[in-house]
Amino acid sequence: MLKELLKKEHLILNMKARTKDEALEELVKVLKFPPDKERLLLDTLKKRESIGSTGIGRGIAIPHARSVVLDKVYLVVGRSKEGVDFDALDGNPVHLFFMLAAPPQDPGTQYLLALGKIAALARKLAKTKEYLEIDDPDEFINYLIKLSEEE
Amino acid sequence: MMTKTLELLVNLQDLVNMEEEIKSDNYLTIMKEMLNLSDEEAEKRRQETLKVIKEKKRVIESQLPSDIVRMFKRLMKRYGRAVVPVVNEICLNCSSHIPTSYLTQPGEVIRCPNCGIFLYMPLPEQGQKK
Repeated sequence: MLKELLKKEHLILNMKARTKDEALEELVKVLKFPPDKERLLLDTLKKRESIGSTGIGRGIAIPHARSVVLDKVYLVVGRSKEGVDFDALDGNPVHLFFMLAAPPQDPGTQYLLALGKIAALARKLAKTKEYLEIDDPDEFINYLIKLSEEE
Repeated sequence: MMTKTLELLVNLQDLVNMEEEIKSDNYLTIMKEMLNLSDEEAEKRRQETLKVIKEKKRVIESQLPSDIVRMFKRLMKRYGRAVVPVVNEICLNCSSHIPTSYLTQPGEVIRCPNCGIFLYMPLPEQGQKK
């Protein structure tokens, strides 16, 4: 499930963002959408953050939203070694982002299934900081896939 | 070119979708796992979040003409959605053919000539044909 969504071209290993807004902008930019689509998706993600931070603590955030402007499910992974002030629940900086975005119509419920898988993966990642040490994109993706498939 | 009215309608539709998602039990289960919350804490959080969304919807609705808001609500009631994109000249609500020329007519919003839903025309993405 996550294997299909995790793509090297949707991975940022060295995020430059330092604030929540900058982080969301950097993550959305990776999708290379036309400007109006990019702005509308960003608006929706920011609105989602304004009703409750998706910075779940222990260095991980899972910004997510559905938007009319999308035609399929997208996952963007971003890592910041320095950390981003994301207003996380535990107040600590966020080092790893999983940005999940989907269209409203999602017959296979791929989005909710993916969100559940990411939540489970985040719990495993929270116990280690290994993800801060991997600098090769393929290795990073494989690490996430392997961890997500472990029981 | 996206007009201000259409932009507000897309924002409103996304908020309605967010509200429906937060109301669903599947989403609540995921949030409980994600945030390590008890049943009681999760429910409290859900109710607080729904209150904030309601207020945000109210703000957007206040910026839209009242006839558009009425139409949005009518469409939501009828189809469960009020704004859809046109993909490959097809209305994603009723599958009617919508020629590109129809979408370039002047006006703040364009509605499907068959089902009446508000139409959003995404610009082509990089690497896609126009």
